[in-house]
Amino acid sequence: MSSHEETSTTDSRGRVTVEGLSKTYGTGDGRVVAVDDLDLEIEPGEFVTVLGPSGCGKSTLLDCIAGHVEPTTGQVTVDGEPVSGPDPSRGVVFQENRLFPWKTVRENVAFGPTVRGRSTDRVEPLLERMGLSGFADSYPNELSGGMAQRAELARLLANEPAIMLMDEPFSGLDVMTKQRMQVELLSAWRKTDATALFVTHDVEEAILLGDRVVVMTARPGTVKTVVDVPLDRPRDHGSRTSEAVTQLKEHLLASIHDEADVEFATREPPASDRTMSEPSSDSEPRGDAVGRDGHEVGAATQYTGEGDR
Amino acid sequence: MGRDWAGPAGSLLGLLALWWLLGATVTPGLPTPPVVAAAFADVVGDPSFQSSAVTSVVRVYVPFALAAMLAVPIGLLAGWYEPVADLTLPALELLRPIPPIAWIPAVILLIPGTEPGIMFITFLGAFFPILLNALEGGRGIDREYAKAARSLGADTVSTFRHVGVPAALPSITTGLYVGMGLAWLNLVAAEMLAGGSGLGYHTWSAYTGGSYPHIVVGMLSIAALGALSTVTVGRLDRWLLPWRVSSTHP
Amino acid sequence: MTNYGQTRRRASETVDRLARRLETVSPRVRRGLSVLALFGLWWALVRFGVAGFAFFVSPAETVVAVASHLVGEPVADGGTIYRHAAYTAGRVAVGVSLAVAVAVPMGLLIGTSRRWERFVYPGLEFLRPIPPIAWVPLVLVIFPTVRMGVVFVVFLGAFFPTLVNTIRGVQAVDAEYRRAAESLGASNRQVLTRVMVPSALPAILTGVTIGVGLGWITVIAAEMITGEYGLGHVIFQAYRLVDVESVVVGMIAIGALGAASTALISAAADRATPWLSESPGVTR
Repeated sequence: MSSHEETSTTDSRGRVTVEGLSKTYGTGDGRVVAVDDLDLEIEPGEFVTVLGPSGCGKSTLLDCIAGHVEPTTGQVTVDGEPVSGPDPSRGVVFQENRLFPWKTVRENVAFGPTVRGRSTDRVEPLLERMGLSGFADSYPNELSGGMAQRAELARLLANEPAIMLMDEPFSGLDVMTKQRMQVELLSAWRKTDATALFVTHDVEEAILLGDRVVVMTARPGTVKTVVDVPLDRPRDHGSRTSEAVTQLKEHLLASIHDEADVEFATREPPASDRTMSEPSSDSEPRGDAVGRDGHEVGAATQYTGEGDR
Repeated sequence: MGRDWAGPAGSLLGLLALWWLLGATVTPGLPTPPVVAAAFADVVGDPSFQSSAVTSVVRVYVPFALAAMLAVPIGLLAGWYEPVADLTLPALELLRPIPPIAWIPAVILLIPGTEPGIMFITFLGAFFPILLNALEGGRGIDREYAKAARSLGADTVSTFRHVGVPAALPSITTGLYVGMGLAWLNLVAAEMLAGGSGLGYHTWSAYTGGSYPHIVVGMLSIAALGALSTVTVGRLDRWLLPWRVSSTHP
Repeated sequence: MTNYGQTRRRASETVDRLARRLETVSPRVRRGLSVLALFGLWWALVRFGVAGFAFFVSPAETVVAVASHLVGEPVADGGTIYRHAAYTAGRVAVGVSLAVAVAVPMGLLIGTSRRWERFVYPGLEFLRPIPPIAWVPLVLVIFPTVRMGVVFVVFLGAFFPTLVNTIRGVQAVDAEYRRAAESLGASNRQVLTRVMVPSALPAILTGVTIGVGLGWITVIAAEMITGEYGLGHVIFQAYRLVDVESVVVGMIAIGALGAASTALISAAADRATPWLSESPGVTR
């Protein structure tokens, strides 16, 4: 369970219950069942990551919880109240940057409190904490990818949402920036008592960030397995290479590969059948099976993550 | 890197030369540049010419402003929210194909007084381009921004004000630019037909009165004022759209 | 919350309520309401003699008038509406064709050759702000026949949009395409015809479509001013005779034909560029 710092408010805020959620797009032959009879329970204050290959419905799940999409059947309740539309208590961060291009960084971050008639005192300290003070008066098109995502995160946090919903926010970033952002996210989240739901296709990210990892199947999307992450908080860059993480990674990778096979409709031999003579994607010596974004596992159990390539 | 002066200068000289040549040989009716220049010098200080210019300018700018004030909100709302489009566009689309110029006879018969009549024509000229571009602007807004605003707690009015309007501004400014050009175009026709005053009328009466150089003076004055107006409106985007690094208009 | 915040909240709630009610009505009904409102307003203005509308025709009378002219009743100055429409349409066709024949090649040259861009384009840019109609008096002086003059003015109306769009279309062609073609062995001419033109075609066709629209309104104005047979003349004559009915019939005819010609060109343009699913943005 979460062990991050509690703040004064009630600690049962932010419970998300998903029951029998199904979402179908389109009709007739073009029908796509994005999510099929999905059940999920997220405790208040938890950080849950949702892991799965592309097209498995993870984004749809998030959209339903956010209130942007209406489920075909089933429902989402937050603290007992059914979700019927977007709400600032359920803040969202997207993969493509959604900062308003016509507002400065500061105006973007202050947007939530401003339109809700709340105080904007929190904005400046938040900008400073996220390292954006120098760019507060710049427009989003002048920011780098990492800064823009940081700004979007700040915009989310300025609203003090009970639930933070994040849809692959870091997948467009280069590895170094991504890793930094992961740690920054955790540190920012720790200062709140928000529940967090984070969608990703990056195994290491899912493990590093989450208290629990929900692995989803490909179409139709439903929960395949839920895994606890036995890692203490606070976590940092060093946590990536710990034993627990490494083992968990392998376990989850195997799980994902099965799902990815369904997606690609090709049958690769399962990881355990791979022989030592299987060439790896880089010209590294055998024995150091190098991962490429979590795919391609050699027979060696010693698994070094992408950060060590 | 300096601006290229040789090109435009050479081109203009070439144009003047061609003009002079045509006027001197093939088309003797065409007054040559020096004759026109003399006529211009003659008339530019003349208060009645100046008041013609002012009349025309007023007949363009006032209706243009009115057209913008109506067409921008209607177009934007219609593009943003479909039911509004359903309620407004069908009627407008029935009227749009009729060129403002074709309205002139009807307008003269219906609206008492020259000024309101002509201003109505200019209004029509600017209204539809502005409407269409505002419509396109409203339609083209990425709905993801609206979703983001909603998730941040914005209500309907706030979302429209903070997302809808700014996102559509680039298209709106294009519409204003085009609308200004069409306002001038229609004004000239209206003045020639029914003006009684203004630069269009001045140009036409120069023809009927036989003072041909003044025809060209009229044409060029109209062109100059028209160009000035469209360029001014075109520069609006620098002021309205500070987040854009480059301008998109000509 | 501030006062503004409160009013805004209330406004949003009202808007949301209104919106929900609007959404219960089907789109078709909404659109029907729009058209109904227009005709209703027209009818009311005439019926109650508001301002000059006392002498105006009602919607019903207009329908009758349109129908009778469609079956061949002559308009103001003699000749059926079809005859006048033919004159007008003919002038537009000739004027636009000439404009395209000159503007497209010129645009291609200016768009691809630095020299042409430097030395020819500025001169044209100087002439462009002169509204086509403003040329009418001068044209009447220069051209031997009024008819030629009108066609020339139509030509001018269509020329500039076509030219400008052609230039933009050509200049916007990704340099990469050109280089790809060259490295595949294409000659300069082949690059032009097989890469640049197809790539710029959507923009060129947009220009032609705009040109047709502008040509159409120019011809009406020119006919009204010069008195040449055609729909513009019909309207002007009707006005002179205070034949309000014919004025409105003329307006409707002009609007209908203008819309039809634009639609035709648009459709043809779409046919010519099947690789596009939607048309590119309009430049003017």
